[in-house]
Amino acid sequence: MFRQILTIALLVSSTSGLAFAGEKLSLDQEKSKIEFVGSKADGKHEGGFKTFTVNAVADFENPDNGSLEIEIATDSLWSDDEKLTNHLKNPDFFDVRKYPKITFKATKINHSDSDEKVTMVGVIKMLDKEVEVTVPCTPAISETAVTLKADFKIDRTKWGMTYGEGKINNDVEIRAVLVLNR
Amino acid sequence: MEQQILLWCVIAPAILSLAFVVLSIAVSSKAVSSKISSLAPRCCGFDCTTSIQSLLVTFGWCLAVAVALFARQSKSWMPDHTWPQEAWQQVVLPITLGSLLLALIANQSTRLAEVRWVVAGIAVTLVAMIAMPSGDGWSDMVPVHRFWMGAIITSGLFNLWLLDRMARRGADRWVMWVALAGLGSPTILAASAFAGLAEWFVAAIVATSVVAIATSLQKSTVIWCVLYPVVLFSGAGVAAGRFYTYEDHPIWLYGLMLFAPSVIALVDVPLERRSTVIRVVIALVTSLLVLVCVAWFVLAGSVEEQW
Repeated sequence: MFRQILTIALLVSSTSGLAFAGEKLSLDQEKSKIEFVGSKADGKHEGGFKTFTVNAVADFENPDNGSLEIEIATDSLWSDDEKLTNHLKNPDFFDVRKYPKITFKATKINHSDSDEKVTMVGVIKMLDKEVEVTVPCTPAISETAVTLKADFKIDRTKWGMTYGEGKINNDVEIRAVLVLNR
Repeated sequence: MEQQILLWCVIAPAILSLAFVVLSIAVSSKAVSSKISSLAPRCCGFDCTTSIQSLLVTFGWCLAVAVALFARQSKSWMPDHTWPQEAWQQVVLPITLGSLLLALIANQSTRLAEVRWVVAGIAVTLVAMIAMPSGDGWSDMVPVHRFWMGAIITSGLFNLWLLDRMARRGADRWVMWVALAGLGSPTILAASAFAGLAEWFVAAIVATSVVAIATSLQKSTVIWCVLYPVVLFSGAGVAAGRFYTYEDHPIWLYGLMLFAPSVIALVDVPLERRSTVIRVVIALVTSLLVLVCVAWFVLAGSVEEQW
C-alpha cells in the first residue's frame, strides 16, 4: 500500500511545472536508456540516444507540485547499423544539426487504483513540432531510487518525419528506462 | 510519396524544360527571328535572337529545378519565411542569376562574350559562398569552409572553361551530355546522404536530359549554354553532399566528383580533330569510368540493409 501511494505521489507530482520545494531526483545515466525500434515489412532496426538529461522533482506531500522533463541530445543517436546511424542523423529523419534536441515534458497523469501502471500525458517536441503523447509507465520505487519503465509507440509522421512512408512503418516503438536516484 | 516525387521531380521538370526548349527553337525560326531583328536591330554586333534563345532555355532549366525545390522542400522552410533556410537550397538564386547573365552574352560573336569569364567568376564565387552551411549546428564545419569554397570556385571555373571550350570546338550538339555526366557524381553522393537532396538532383538530371536531347537533335544549336547552370549546380551539389553526409569519403573522391566534367573534357582535347563518333565514344567511356569509380567508393559497404 505504501509503495502504491508513493508511486502515485511521485508520478502525479511529475506532471506539474510549478516551482516548489520538492525532492529533486538525479538521473542514473548508466542504468537509464532511451531506445527505439523502427520496423518495416521485412525487418526492424534498433537504436537509441546515448546522451540525455532528466529534470525530475517530486513532492510526496503535495503530488501536484512536481515536474518531469527529458532533454535528448540528438547527435548522440546510435543504431545497430553504422550506415543507418548516419542516415538517421540526416534531414530524412532527425536532422540533428538543425534540431539538436528532443524534449519531453509531462503535463498530466492518469492513475488507476486497480493496478500500479500509470498513464502519463506529455508533450514531445521533435523537429520543432510539439505533439501530445500518452505514455504508459510502470514505476518501481525503492529507498534509493525510482525507476520508470515505458514501452509505447509513436507515429513519427506527426512530427513531419515522413521519409519512407509506406515502406517503413509510421509507428516507432519507444523503450525507455529512467532510473532516478533519490 | 512516390507519385509526388514523380510529379515534381520528373514530370514537371521535363515539361517545363521542354516547353522552354520549344520556345527557344521557335525563336530561331526565320519569321520570329526577323521580327526580333526589326524590333531590336543589331547593335555593335549584338545578336538579340541568339541571346533570347539562350535566355529562354536557361530560364526553363532554372525554373524546372526551382519548381521541384519549392514543391518538395517548401514544407520544411520556417513558417515565417518564404525563402529556403538551408544553404543547399539557397544556391538556386546565384545559379539562376549567374546563368542568365552568362546565357545573355556567351553566344555573342563580339568581344562582349569574353566578359562571360568575369560573370562566371562572380557566379561561381557566390555559389561557393552561399553553399557553405552556417549556424550553431554547423560550427564544426566552419574550419573546412575556406577549403571547400576554394575547391568549388576552382573546379567550377575549370569545368565552365573546358566545357565552354569543348562546345565551341565542334561539340555543341553533345556537350550537354558531358554536363549531364557531371551531375552523376553529386547525385550518387546526394543519394547516399539524404533523400531531399537526391530528389532535387533527379529534377536537374531530367531537365538537363531534355536539353541534351534537344541539342543533339538540332543541326546547329546555341542552347548548349545550359551547361553553365548545370556545372554550377553540380559543384554546389558536391558541397551539399559533403556537408550532409556522415561518411568519411577520401578527399580525392570529392576532387574527382568536382572535376568530373573537366576530366571528360580534358580527355577530349587531343581528340578535337577526330570524328564526332570517336569523341562521343571516348567521352562516354570516360564518363562511365568516372561514375563507376564514384559509385564504387561512395556506395561501398552500403549494400547491407538500410531503411
